[in-house]
Amino acid sequence: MALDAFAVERKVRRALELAVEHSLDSLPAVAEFMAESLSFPIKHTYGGNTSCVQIDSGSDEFVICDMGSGLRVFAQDLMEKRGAGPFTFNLFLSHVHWDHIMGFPFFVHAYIPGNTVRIFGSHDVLEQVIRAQNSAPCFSVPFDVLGANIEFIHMDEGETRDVAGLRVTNMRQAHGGDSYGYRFERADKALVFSTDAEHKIDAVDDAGDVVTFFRDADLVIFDAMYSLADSVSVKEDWGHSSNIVGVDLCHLARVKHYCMFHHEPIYDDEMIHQVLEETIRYEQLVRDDHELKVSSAYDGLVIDL
Amino acid sequence: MELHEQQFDNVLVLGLSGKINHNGADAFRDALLSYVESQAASYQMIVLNMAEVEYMSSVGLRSLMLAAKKSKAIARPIVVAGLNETMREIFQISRFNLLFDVFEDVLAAISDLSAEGLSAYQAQSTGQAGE
Repeated sequence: MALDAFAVERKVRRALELAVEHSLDSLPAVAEFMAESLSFPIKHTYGGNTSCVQIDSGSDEFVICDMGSGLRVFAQDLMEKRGAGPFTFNLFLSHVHWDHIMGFPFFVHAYIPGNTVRIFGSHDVLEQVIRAQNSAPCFSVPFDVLGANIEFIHMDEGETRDVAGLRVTNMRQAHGGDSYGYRFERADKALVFSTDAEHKIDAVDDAGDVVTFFRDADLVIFDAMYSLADSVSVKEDWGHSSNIVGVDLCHLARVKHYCMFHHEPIYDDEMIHQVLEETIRYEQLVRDDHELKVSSAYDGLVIDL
Repeated sequence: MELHEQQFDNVLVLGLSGKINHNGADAFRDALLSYVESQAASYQMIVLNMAEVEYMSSVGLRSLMLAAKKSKAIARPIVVAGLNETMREIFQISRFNLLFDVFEDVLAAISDLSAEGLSAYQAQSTGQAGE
């Protein structure tokens, strides 16, 4: 969730309280204090945008997973740095739930003639939903006004395509109405985007397919929304997974870096950070011979592979 | 993973040991469910003694939850006892400490669950002390 005024005030107050214990009489002293003494949730925020991840493949074409509210930030940043286009965008959708498509009406490059927007997905209703979102009564600018060349491209379950220098394979996941994870490969690098995926309590035997999909990935972006207890009790069948199931699957698949994604919206920055520290500790407790890096996604995070 | 059983009147104590992870996960789940669902059993409640568990990953915890749901349906409750330091951390991180009744040790669990079970446990302990 986005920070409100009071949450920002609490961060400032906490930072100033900690500053009292230090002699901040110079700019270098301030810089050192910020680096050494202020934790992530005090000096930063994990952010509040919904699902949207850019993959920089080195191609001239853009590759993006999901069209959550982060898509607007991406477009704004692109506009400032490189302008309106012409560009080609390849957007891979996990599914069409609202938090994964809500950025599209604010994707400014879709309004600009000369740009190409390819939307890949596996749901039969994909085009219908995106068009409906850009229609009354949901939005004031109709879809047909969008100036870019917009294509909807269906991917079958388990299909592999070569897009923008990447080999892309999808996998169906357990979620209301299904969702799809994507594995992107180039040369000896692999990245998996797997959000909105429930790994059910009685489907442990199915883990083999997931492990194969994750196998030896350099990075897995994983739906770690709930605690394990929540995911198998009150929030069972809500379509999301837990922080520690992510660790175990990544251990089995010998993944290098596990990035927790799709944070529980009711968690504040302190709670998300606590979950990160607990997950790092869990990875240490259950580790056999494969060390796994654990991190937690935040708006603006960049990971080099 | 190893599992051994002891019965104290109407209380079954299952002692777990070793690593409970993806290796042997099916065997652990099946064994646990067989104790929970046994038609012939004379026990009415189950204590899982985790004192000797090296660690339990999410796959083991999910089996625990599956067993707990089955046990609830047939009114044969499962409780947890003897969490060592590692297992205490794993229960806290997974929030399973909020789902299960957790007791300091087997004696504390049986004391809470059953007077008959406690008498049987004490009788056996006294007998062993006298040997």
